[in-house]
Amino acid sequence: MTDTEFGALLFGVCLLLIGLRMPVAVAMFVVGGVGFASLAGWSAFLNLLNTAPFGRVSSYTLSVVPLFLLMGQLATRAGLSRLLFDAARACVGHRRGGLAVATIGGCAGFGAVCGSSLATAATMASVALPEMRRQGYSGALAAGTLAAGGTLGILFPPSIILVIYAVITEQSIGKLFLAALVPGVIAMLGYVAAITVCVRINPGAGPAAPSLPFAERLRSVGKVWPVVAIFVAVIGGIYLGVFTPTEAAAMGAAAIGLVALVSGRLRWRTFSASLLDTARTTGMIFLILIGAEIFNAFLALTQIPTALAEGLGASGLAPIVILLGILLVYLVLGCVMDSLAMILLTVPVFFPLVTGLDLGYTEEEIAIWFGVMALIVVEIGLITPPIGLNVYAINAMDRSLRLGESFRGTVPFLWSGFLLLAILLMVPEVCLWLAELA
Amino acid sequence: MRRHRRPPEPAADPTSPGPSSALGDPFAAGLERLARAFALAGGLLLAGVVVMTVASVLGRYIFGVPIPGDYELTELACGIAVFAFFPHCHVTRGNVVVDFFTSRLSPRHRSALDALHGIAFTIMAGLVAWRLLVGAMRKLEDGETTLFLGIPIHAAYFAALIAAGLLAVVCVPVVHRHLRAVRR
Repeated sequence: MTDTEFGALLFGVCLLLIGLRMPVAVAMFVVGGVGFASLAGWSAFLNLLNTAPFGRVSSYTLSVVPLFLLMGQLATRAGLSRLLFDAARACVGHRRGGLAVATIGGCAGFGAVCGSSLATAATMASVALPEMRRQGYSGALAAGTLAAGGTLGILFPPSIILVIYAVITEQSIGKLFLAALVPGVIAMLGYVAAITVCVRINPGAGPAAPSLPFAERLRSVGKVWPVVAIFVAVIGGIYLGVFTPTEAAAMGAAAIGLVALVSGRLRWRTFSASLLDTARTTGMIFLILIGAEIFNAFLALTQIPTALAEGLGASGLAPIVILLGILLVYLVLGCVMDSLAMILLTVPVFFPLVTGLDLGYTEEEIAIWFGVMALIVVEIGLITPPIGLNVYAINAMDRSLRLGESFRGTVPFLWSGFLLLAILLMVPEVCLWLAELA
Repeated sequence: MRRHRRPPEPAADPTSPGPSSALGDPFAAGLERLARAFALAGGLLLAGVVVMTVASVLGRYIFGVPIPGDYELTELACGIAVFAFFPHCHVTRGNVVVDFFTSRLSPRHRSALDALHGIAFTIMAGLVAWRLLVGAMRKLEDGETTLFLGIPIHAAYFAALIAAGLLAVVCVPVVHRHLRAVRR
């Protein structure tokens, strides 16, 4: 058995163990460790372990992850979701389907200070779901809107999954954030279009809410200025090079913390709860990162990425076909696997292959383009059965919702997601131009 | 025992049967509280990094002087904080598990798998802690320090080692919990 075959075999074993509910981090660690040790020897493996785990975790670039997570947690406890939803509702709530559109608006706003899809969906749901149900919205539309809206949390910067992609592929976090911004806006508009079509076909799904006086509307919209200011400062600051992404995350977390403090919602209890939730999610992400570090050390020894690139290069397939094939693999994997694990397992294999393709763009452009497309595929995976995490999270918050109903509600938004992917595939400039202005 | 769970659980498997029962005996409950205290301490360290970074950025733009060595402080503090997060994450079932293919199994069979994986987790945690100790001793011998402030690297390693040790220890009651579920 050649090293490459051995690598492919263990790759399969790793997927199998993950399928058998072994924690993803442990599967990658164990399989990577056994593989590495059998190729390079046990003492080499033990030496790797002396520094690799702490070295992986103690990294300036990666410190942006817990900081952005903390910022999102503080935003959740500061009640920003309520402010954002109220502002968006004041503008569009009186139309048919208006509360759903307002939910998308609120999600976009919340996504601008939170880097996680699930957190955005869950936080907005606690505010918007009862309102929509009270207004007589159908369960499918309400749950579908929230699940899809949550994905704006990772499309709008900051985005945890994009940070991880940037770190493992050694790309600029700032550029990737900017690259995802335009597709994020398109996704938002696509979701609004999907809602409009839904309520046109089935007017009973989203009845109009009473209209508010103009002065009231203005007051509601005026209240969201801190969110806008913080988003502009954080992303603008990265864009202009005023500060590093890590500094931006720290500034953002401090600013949101200040907002929470002024609003009187930040007491020791809520603060410690924010810290503990940050701890839990950070621990989850970094344990997988440690597992991936070991697994990748093994993959590098097997030279699978090179072998795959050479094999496909010799096959005479058109580069765009190969790219489509990879995206298809992502779509399938994304339906049954955790998004972070999927990115960490596959990017080391696919990335050298993709950046080597002759698509008429530079390596960096392809890296950015591919990253944004991978992000959108991840986003689609979060709202498709069988394990659309967002849908489960929303569904768990309202006992009157049935799971099938919730999943049916995501279908229009899925079409919107596929359309966005198609646009990006055909016109990479959609994500490239803003990134290249930087 | 206090819990901070909200309905949506990042990374928790969607079909898991709600909040877990307590780990059981007082020893396990004490460990759980200790893990929580570690996570809280790590969180405060992270909050400290936030304050330090803000001060450094403001210092740089207003007074022209950043806090010296702010990058390396961030790096070491975050590294220690993340290790402090691991035990709490593990005892509250925060780690990512793909439940799609096994959701039809009986609870007993699932618990049996979880117990096996818990043992693998224990081995991993033990291995990491052991090698962290070796790594810390090497750094102590080398006398390696950070570039600007000259902070000895081994100090950070030893701090992380304490948390890694706790992670390995809390693995035991977690396995025990799964085994009890198998016998039930």
